[in-house]
Amino acid sequence: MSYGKKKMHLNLFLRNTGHHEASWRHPGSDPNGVTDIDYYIKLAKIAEAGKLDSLFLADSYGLPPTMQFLVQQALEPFTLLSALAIATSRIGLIGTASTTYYEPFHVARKFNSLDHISRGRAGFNIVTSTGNATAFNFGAAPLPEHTDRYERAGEFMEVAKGLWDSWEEDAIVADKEQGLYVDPEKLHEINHVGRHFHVKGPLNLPRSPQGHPVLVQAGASDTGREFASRMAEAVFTAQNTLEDGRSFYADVKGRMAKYGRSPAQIKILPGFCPVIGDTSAEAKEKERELNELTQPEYGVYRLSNLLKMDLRGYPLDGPLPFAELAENHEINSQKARHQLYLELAQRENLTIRQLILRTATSRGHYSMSGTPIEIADEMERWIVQGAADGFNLMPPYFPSGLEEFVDKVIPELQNRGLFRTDYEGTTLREHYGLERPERSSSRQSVISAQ
Amino acid sequence: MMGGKSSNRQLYMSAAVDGLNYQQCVQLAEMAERALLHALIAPESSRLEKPAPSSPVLEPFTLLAALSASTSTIGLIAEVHSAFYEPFHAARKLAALDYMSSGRAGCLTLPGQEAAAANFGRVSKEQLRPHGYEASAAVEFAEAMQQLWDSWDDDALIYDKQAGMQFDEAKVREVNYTGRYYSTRGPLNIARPPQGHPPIVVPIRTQDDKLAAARVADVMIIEPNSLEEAIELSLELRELLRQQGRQPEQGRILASLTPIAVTAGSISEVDLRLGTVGGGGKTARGRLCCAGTAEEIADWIQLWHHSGAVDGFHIQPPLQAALDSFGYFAEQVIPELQRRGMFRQTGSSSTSLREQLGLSRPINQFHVIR
Repeated sequence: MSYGKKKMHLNLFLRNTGHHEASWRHPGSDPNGVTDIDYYIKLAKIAEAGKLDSLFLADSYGLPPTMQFLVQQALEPFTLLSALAIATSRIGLIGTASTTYYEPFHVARKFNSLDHISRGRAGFNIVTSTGNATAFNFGAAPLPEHTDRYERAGEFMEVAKGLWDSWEEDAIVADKEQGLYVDPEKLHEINHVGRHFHVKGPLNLPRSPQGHPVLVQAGASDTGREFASRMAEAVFTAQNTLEDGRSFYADVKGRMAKYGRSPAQIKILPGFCPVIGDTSAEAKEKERELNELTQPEYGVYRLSNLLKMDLRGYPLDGPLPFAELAENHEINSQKARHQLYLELAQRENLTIRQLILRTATSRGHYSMSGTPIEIADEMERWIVQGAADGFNLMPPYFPSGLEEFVDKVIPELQNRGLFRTDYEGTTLREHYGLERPERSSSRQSVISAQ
Repeated sequence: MMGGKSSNRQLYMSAAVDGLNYQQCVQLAEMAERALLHALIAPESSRLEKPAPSSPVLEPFTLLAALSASTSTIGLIAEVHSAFYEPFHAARKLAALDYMSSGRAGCLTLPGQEAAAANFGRVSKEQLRPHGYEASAAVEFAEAMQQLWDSWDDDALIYDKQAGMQFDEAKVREVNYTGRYYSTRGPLNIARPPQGHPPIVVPIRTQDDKLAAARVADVMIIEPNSLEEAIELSLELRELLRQQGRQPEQGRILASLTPIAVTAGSISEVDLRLGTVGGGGKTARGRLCCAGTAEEIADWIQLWHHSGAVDGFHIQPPLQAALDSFGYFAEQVIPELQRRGMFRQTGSSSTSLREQLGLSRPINQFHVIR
């Protein structure tokens, strides 16, 4: 019956105390866990027991103005994922790094090192950063424009891939007798000279188990989609309805052909936030309890920040002042999320307070409350109807929101033949069914020619 | 054997851990921890050496974070090349490592190899190290990190679930650090690390290094050619510390050392190739070596330690046989030092690297101003 069904991919989006903005006030949550490695090890092990493909850490380099209401992600992806690599053995480890505020050499080196340490489980979520809270931690210049950031990201990735390809697979000879460690003919400088970067290479680490880490992207603006269809192997996205999900899915996959790529080379993973109860009523009650803990003051901050307008003077139970809001083309960061919020408010005719509550659970990602069966039904619908290859799982609160999913929803998905019952491979690429990239051999200059 | 009159002076020991083989790094780390060494230092390289005599090394932050899960008491010091790094990134990674290891993180700063500049778009020497960079960059880099760590008070986090307040707003601040080479606004997006400031380690190679170390270093690593040179260098460094208003014990001095085991009657090929058999001295590679039996190496360490020149040693195993060589040191030389009452026989009750090094926890500089 379940034969031939397309299996879904599941990534756990790890985020401090959970994805609901009030999760840290939930009686079962432990805000102090965000700097405690044992807290993350526990969550990673639960996800691995559930056979999830990967776990993922978002990241930014500054505190937002709304920080006093919200537990911040505390530990940093490269260090945290390296420690989790030792505490786990199969689950993929996806970290975020900004192409705007990092050097490609450092990022290529760190992901390569993580891929060696984890024996082929590293993934790189490519972001271009948002906001001046980050910009001013790296000097006096404000955040570059949206298109400039993406242009830099494109060049950054060209350099990073060049560095990952700068060692041939069999460059290490390790001939103790002859005293020859590497064959210098098999190391290649990249000599990249571009608008943003000058990088000579080669990388100072050999090619890693996966060749390149799995490349992940989440920007959903037009520029972001184009970038994803050219570069990404997995896409995280916020889609509020199944319909929106389908059109996004078709759009991104449709753009790939012009880059010589096939649709299967990208896995589209919309955010999915399930509030799970043994009965529908129990699930609804859990959601209501969480929403009661939200703070309107924070919600107004959050909306103001996204919509680039101070909404503090407006009545919470009135509509958004649409006429006064900035239009999408005037926005420099989180463009797609901006669009999603405006459409949601208009479509459902929401007051400011209602929009805050509707987006409190998962910041605009799809969320639902229900029984394990109802939740599995909805997930199956998204897969079957061509809106997703899997999901970016966003439990509303940790650890119980994750435990409930693994204990109750995963077996239901497995029974339907929609999810693996055990890992078949050891690398992240194998989990996602992605090919190991061939080494590009266009690099000519060898190190011995210096 | 010499007398043990100054056995009350603590002897501090660190060891280099590097390589591409993570399992070997774990073995070395576990050996070092069993031998009660104070810290591991993960060296960084931002380029490939040519002709490559050494293996490539795993990147320090990823390596040490992984090792933090396999060890429980030993310090974890990451080498950072300031010319190619941002203080914000370094401060944050060190803070994260400090939380993950319960206060065992540290940072060794170097400007970075000139030949690596081409990997970071610094095509000319001037771009890499503008005039005067060496003299003040290490200081600026450390100061910027320390201010970022101090952007949160120790008691800023309250997590009041009832009131819905994560932290006390009055206790988190922008720092607006503006130096000649670095500027950063802050606050850091992680709370003040368990140690307050993870210790700063500065290797002493140039006159500029000495001046920088006198201002910001908690630990200095010297590379002397002889005991006489070590004594002279230490006197100078301690005088420079004093001139900065700091006490000598606020800057531990370690000598970099490659011990070479010569077991009775058998001299290994490695030793012959290194040309170091028969006493201490510098090899062609510029490393201070000491070759001999465990007792001879212990004698040598004792002599240096009693001279007062150094507070301890940073052990750099020979590249060709790091694990074997370090194993001999940890399992033969350290017990010999312990028998002589020169090295600690039980671990510290604290896991904090600062406490293990006898360094006080720094108070938040923004409190001093207030």
